[in-house]
Amino acid sequence: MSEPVPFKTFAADIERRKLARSLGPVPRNSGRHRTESKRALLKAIEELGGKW
Amino acid sequence: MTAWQESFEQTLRVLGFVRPSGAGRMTRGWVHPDLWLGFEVVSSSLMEGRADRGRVRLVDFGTDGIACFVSVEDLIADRMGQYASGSAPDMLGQARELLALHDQLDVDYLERRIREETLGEYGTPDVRARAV
Repeated sequence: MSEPVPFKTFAADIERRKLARSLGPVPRNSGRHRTESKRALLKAIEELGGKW
Repeated sequence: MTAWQESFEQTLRVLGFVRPSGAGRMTRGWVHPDLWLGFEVVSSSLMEGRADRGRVRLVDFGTDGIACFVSVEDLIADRMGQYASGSAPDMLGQARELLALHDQLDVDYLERRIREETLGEYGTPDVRARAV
């Protein structure tokens, strides 16, 4: 594996790419293809008060 | 993913992670009641051993540790595999966005991985079609 990249460098690189593409927020998954396991996990997070 | 699931899950419990509870919730997931953080352990090997582990990207979060991310080439191939299966047609759009966002990919590796994940049905040109 490669050497770890500092998070700030990683985040700045993502921002640079998004700006170069003139992208706004990247669209989230539609959620239509989630497994039962994933649905249960997301529901559990919601029930705890979290947002995902 | 982890090849050491038992040890990994033991450590998760020590750190306060729990399984989502309730009827009919057979799950691979873990959730932390205080952090509101959840995730799934989906596999014991990286993309069933087809992905090159040497390409895993490491990101350093300082005192919070190091996170590992699958390579963009493997991510694109994974999306194309889902697209090729016919069950997730919108995954082609994600593959195209990922390709458009990354200008320094290993094109030979990308081509091989897309072919592997789509059983030879698709290749890089199919992703590039509108990724400009």
